[in-house]
Amino acid sequence: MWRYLGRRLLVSVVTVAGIVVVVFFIMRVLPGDAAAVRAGPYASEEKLEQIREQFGFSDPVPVQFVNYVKDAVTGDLGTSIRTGGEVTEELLIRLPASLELAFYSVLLAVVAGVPVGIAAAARRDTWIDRAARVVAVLGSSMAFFWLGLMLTFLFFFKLGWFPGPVGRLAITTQPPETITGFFTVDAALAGNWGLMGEAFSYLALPAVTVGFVLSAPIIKIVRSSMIEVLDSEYVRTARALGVRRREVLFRDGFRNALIPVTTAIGIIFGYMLGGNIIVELIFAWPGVGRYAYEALRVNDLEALQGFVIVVGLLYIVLNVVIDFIYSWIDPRIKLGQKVVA
Amino acid sequence: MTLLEVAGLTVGVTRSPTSILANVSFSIPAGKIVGLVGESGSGKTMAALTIMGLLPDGIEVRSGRVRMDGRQLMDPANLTLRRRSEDMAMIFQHPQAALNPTMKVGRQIARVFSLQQGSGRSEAMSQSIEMLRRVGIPGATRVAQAHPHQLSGGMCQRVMIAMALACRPRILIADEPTTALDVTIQAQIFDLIRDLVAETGAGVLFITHDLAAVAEMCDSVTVLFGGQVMEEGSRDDIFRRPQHPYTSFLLDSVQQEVDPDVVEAGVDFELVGCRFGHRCRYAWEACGEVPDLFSVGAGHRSACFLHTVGENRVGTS
Repeated sequence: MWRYLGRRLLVSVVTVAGIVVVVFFIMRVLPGDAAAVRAGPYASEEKLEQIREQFGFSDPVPVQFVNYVKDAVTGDLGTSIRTGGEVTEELLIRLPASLELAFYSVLLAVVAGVPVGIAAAARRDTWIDRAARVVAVLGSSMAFFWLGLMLTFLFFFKLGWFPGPVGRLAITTQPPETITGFFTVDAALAGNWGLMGEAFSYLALPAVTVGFVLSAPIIKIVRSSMIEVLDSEYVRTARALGVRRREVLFRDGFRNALIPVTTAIGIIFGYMLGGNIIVELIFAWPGVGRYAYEALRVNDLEALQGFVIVVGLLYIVLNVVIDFIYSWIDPRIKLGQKVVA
Repeated sequence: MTLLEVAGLTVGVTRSPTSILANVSFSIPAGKIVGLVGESGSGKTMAALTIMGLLPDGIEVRSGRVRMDGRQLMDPANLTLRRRSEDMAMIFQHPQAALNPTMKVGRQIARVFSLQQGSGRSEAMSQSIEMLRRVGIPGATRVAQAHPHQLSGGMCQRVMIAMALACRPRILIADEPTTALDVTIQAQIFDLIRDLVAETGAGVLFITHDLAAVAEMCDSVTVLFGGQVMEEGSRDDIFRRPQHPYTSFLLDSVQQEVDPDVVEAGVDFELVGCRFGHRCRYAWEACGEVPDLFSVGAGHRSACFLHTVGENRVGTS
């Protein structure tokens, strides 16, 4: 186990190094001049030169790279040319917003999708199955922006049940003291239930938007892996021995369908790690997705680099966590050993 | 005493005229091992799954009766099978695939005890270990804590048998129980099954395509081809005095004297009449009808029109 973790850590270092190299050089070949954006349309040539000097763009690329790596290992991902702020700091402020939205979206998708998928597989070709497939097709063909706008229109504008798309909290509300960065959790830790409720009410519409779309692949994968498992020989054995239907469905069925389901949830969560740019834009959600989008628009190299590296790190952590979940749900998988099917 | 009686069982593919079992009858006396023999696709496993009530989707019972001790198991109205788990238990061809991979084998047996006798968790577990010992597993306490992938195929088949025994079945259905195992393990599993019959007086339906295994294990034999019963009789009847052309062919195939054209012809389920007709060297016009089972000796019956023309001994040559 510790050996496994050690080896994973080593591999991760290599992976991160790879990400840094690739991202750094790709950014250098992107068209556009960040200094020109920063200086504005009427800046003089000296002003541009001064900005290039200030941000180190006039150095040779290898020198820039060495300097960048030196700073990066100390946690300094450089300065955003767009905002003038520290990239590390700006990402750390925005990351919890994206992660909180990702967490609740995936949670919603799982809570809704898993039972629907199980029911569809257990009652194959009945109306339940057909309804589940309709929902899955709807979800996977639904555009985030359309659903987000429709939900806002209906539940904020028409019905007024939920607050408008202005971010994580009302503009006048003081956020809770940062502990985890999740407003819902921090508010609860501070014992401020009203604030927690407010945080949830602002989360609701974006989380439902993303959750609905993400539930589609979950329904599909749960349904198909459940069908496969329910047709397996060991499920037939359990039925032959007179094991109750419910137990067959969950203990022999779902328990063994968990590996592909976990994989799918991991991939979906990984996909959400970088924030959902469209949803963050629609709901004015102050997450990393929007940050990356703004950075990309103005060629803010260091902000973009920092974003990609941080998301890469999170992805690596997520994968280690998923490996641990695998070894916990399937006795055939032992960490640090080859997987034998 | 007949324990299980299957009569006129016809099973087909839903929304298709094809029947994969046609008018199949056999019976299993207490304390006896009855062989159900035939090549792949002859319907042996389908027959077992039907009487277990485990037919897969898309396969339906068209007619037939299944009686246990004179008690109807097959509801004649909707042809669904209602059995108690203490009536019958089944062991399968691929023991490792037939065990739940994420559950310790001890628990898999224990839950049968909980189900059957309402044993509590720890009681069921000790019953389970006791049962593992009974099927000849050394270090039963340790094995009970193992997952199926940590055990050999032979061990898994013993676990499977232990699970089946935990039901205290009166009929044990063994569907090619040793196909996936090597020969020494096969002998051990056969011994185990024979011991069980001697101990519990259960009847066994022994399904196989391995004639050597039949000769070694079975008291009587039903030969199946293309979902039709070809011949039935005692072990000696079938091996020494085969009356049906297919049985003779099957016995010859062990000595590799068979005509390859006959083997490769396969089974034609669309065929009207005797399904062996197009492969049979004696076939003539009469074979377009399904022959009845003609009595050709005490407890020995064969479904071939040859018996109507006095040609009642086909011989093995």
